[in-house]
Amino acid sequence: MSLANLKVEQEEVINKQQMIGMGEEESYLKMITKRFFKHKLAVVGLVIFLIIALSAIFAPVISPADPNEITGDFGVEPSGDYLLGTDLVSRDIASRLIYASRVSLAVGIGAVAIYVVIGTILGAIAGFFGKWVDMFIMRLTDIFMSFPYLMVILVLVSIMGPSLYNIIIALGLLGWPGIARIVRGSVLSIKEMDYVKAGIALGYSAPKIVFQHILPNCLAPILVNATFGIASAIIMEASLSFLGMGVQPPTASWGNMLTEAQSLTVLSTQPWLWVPPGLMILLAVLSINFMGDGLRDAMDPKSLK
Amino acid sequence: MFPYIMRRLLIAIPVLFGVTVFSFFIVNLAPGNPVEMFISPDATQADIELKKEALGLNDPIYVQYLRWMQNLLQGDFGYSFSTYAPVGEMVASRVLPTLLLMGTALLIAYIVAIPIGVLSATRQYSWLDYLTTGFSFMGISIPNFFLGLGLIYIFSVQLNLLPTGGMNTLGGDGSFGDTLKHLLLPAFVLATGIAGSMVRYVRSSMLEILGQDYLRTARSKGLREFLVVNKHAFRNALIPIITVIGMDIPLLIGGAVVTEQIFQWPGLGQLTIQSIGSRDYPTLMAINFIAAITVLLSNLLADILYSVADPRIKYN
Amino acid sequence: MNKNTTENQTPILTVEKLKKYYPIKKGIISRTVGQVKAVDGLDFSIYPGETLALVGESGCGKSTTGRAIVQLDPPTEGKVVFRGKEMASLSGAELRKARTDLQIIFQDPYSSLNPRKRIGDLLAEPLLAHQLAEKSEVSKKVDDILEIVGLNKYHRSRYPHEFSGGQRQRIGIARALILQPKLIVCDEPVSALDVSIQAQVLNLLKDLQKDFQLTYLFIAHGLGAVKYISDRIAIMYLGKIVELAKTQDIFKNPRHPYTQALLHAYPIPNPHLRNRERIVMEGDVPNPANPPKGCGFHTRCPLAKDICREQIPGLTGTNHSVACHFPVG
Repeated sequence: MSLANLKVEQEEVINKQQMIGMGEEESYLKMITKRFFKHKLAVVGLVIFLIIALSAIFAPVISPADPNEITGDFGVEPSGDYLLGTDLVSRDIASRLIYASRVSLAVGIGAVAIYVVIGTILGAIAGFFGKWVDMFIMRLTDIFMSFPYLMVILVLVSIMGPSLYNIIIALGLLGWPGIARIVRGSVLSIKEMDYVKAGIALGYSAPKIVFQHILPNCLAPILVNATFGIASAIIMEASLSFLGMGVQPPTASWGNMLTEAQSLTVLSTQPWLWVPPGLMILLAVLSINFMGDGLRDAMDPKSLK
Repeated sequence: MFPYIMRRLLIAIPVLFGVTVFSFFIVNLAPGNPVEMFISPDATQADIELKKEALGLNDPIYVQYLRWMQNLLQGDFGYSFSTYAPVGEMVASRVLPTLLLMGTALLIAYIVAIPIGVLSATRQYSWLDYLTTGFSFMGISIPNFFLGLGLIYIFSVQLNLLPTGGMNTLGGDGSFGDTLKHLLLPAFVLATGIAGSMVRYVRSSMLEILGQDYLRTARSKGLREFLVVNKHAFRNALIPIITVIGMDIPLLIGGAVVTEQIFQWPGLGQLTIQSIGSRDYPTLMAINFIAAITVLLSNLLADILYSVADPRIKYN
Repeated sequence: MNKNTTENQTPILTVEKLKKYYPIKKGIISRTVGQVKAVDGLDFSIYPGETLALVGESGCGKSTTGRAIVQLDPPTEGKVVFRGKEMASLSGAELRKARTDLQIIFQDPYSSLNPRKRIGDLLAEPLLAHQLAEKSEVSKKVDDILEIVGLNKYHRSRYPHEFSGGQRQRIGIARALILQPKLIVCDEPVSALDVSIQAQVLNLLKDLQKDFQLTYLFIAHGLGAVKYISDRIAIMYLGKIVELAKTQDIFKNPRHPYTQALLHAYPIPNPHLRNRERIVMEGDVPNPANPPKGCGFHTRCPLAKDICREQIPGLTGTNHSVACHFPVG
């Protein structure tokens, strides 16, 4: 017995030395970053997204012209004067494309930021407190999920008046159920973990337990869902603007730049009017979806130790 | 199983009730009233008031709601504010085209996506897998209206193969073949997004199953790979996919709005846009109600299918 | 510690008629159709400085008891009186305050530490939450506690996943200890560890008890670990205590047939002492949702008679209590 004890103690001393000599500790964040950068598509997505984001930020610097300036050259083809041609109101399409990226990013990030906050708070409350609170919030979630999303947004936006801010608010107010369900599920499972029980036994307050011990541990699914959410919010804004219920001209949005293509003449004879903005939407959404996929793989608990 | 279904249906009642309350109040919050939009410009203020009174628009909003609910319970959706036709009939005439469009889209999506997803998983990291991944992401990411316009440009304008919109050729014979020609492009557009995400789901679901021990056992028994994949893996991989089917229905309804608008398809989506434009509350309410029921039922159906497919799931 | 004086002291913790039932729900409107009686009427006291062991097979309600005492799963019925205060009557703030004196160590050292927090933060948090130390003293206190449980201050900046099971359990002990509690519920603290590590952690617990005048409620599923650390042992079966006595009495003079069966499952190192009569239990533990009538143990008891199937035996006797119609010896 004593001999065995001694041996174990020796082993543990060696263990300790190894641990101290192990160099820098690897934090969770570093692990995720490393795995994310191994995902080729995710890196491609990140690069494209950064380019779009930078051009949105530096739009005034890189735009060849004022996006709202009436040049007097109506619907001309791409040429040396106008890199991507002009639209039916004679504005420079290239400049409008660059400025429109601001609209898309603002909607994507703004709307998702709003609904992530709403969804996380509601989901956390439902999961943590349970009972009738949970029942009530989950029925509310069901109601919001039973709405045909686009229809309600259309109605809401037409009521509030179509504008950039109203789109952000409408998408933000209606987008939260998905996040709420995810957070509730995570909270329910994490709530049963002993480290949360330990927090309760240690006399921590409910907000401290929820915000410091439970929520940080369900960050991964929230982040992945939010990333995909940005992509779908961008598509949603483009669809609304395309239907004339979104961002209104003269403000340029990739969606409203395509509106004119509903006329068969524009569609068949002036493809430079509608192909570039369509491609920009595709590119932006694709890059964000790639990043979301990379994040999901990187944060997959099954492949994490 | 039966008590579970009953309970789900019972829960659905307050949810549906909430949906109607919510959409009724949202719709009625809208500024501008339908009467002003449709009555002739030379009508006097008194005429407008008379019309409003006749439509019950001067009553408090909860009275309007209760009246609407009372009528609904008797199967009456009221009259359209813009065409004055019974909403029930108006909506009913639009249901079939939308069902046809969504059904065809779902069919195309699943027929294409499931085999491709399985193939892509069994040859993980092959060129086929990469190609599939690329295309499925494109399908998820491309906006319906851009794809629709692109397809019209190629197939209708350039190749002159398919019509640009509508459901039948004007003055045509109205034959099934004619409808099919009109159906092809919008159904394809609606199918892409669904197919794209379906391929991703099938692939990851298959990959997970293919890594399980019981498949190694099946292989070590000397079973042919074809049988391993089809008899052992595929069936189990299908189970998580069923939930996706439940989630696809709401997506389809939303997608149908844009797609029907582009292709001038005479379905519920197009009616929605028209009704929003004319502030036709009763029609909007009816569409919302039908859509909500569809969503709730499809979720329930997915859950039931799930329990049938997976013996481990027990609902009580 | 003087074991003879325990009976004359006031208990630090008294549990009276403690019950914890879980409802079984069924049907369309989730009617409650039955109850799982996880803990079904426990009475016992723990005296300052002693270790009371709660022993039983898995599912007998011992962990539920532990969690009910620290109010993680508040009891359905009955009283938990800790240092003169009834826990259920405390308000939220009072309960949080009372909890600083009543801590718990968990079985699974992997799920009991928040994976996103560094060890230093994990240990500093309780002090800061209860304002038990100035900001400037916190880091010194954390270093000290790490030293005390056999780790060192270099471990402060590390995350839980960088430690072995035994080390993690030491961290769990440190976290419970840092609030300087009076009573610690040890919920199978060594069951999840390698056998070679178990003795070390038990030694640590024993040393800590001596150094900090701690009282333990030590929950275990076998008599092995318990013999070494406990002063008294309570044997649980199907949510009830069937025998409660001093450790040496339980081992030398077990009176309940179930205790005897448990003892026989405990290997004796000396082969010359192995000539005892064996009692082997048959069958499984009955479903606590549908416990047998009468004595809970009669379905597996070799000595069961008619009365055992009819009447529930009460726990009788002062120093060595047993709940059996036909106690042995």
